Amino acid sequence: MRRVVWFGVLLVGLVSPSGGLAAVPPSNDQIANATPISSIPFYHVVHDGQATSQPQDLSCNPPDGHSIWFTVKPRPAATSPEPRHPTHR
Amino acid sequence: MNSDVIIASGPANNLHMVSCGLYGSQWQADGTTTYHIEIAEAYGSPGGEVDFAIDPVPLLIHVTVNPVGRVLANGTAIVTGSLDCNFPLLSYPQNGGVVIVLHQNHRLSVGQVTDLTTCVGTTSTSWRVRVQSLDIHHRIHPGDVRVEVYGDVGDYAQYGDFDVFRHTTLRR
Repeated sequence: MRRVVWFGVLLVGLVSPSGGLAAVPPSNDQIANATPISSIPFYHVVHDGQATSQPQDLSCNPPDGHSIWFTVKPRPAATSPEPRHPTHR
Repeated sequence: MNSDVIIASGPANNLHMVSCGLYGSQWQADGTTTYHIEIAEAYGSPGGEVDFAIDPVPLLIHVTVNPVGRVLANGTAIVTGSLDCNFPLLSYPQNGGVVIVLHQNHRLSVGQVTDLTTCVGTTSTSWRVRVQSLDIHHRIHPGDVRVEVYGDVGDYAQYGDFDVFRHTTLRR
């Protein structure tokens, strides 16, 4: 049986533009250098103001730009229903 | 700032979008796929500082019992209701599945949902159970009864259990 589990990503706070930062793209500016997420829950503060756009970047509400990338392989919890016998509760 | 969250799978040069949303997104992952998460500034936003969080979605289960049931001539009863989850899961009758217990005059009557296979998520999954007393000499009577519904749903990746009490009125 296929293992499935639902995850959600939420941008919990959107703060000020990164005016004072050096004009250097973040390390995960391109998908080839995506930041790996090794465990969930995961929380991270990122600056995307200097991120660039690449041809393979996807768009949701165009024009999208300043893309940064993460990768994750969610691992479902190793649980399964236990047998239950109603007359032995 | 207007940040998009885009979930994608596949090779970097041939990405397949799984889901996307402004300020957040939700998707159903399997245990074998690597997903790419793109945060992008939408509508020409210049970008800035972004707080990024990823969490499992909690399972929500909702059980109803229809307010009227039926007592049959042989002293058993038919009780119906529904089961909802916020995403698709299975119930396993061979592992207990969903069990209905009637509490009437300090006697217990039990039935099991045998044909329920999915907890669909977007629409209610109806169930119908024939309930009979654990005491072979006891017959279920018409009237108001307390109904306990318990069981579990899962998919080998996760599961949730429930145990709720409702009321129904049994009629001939």
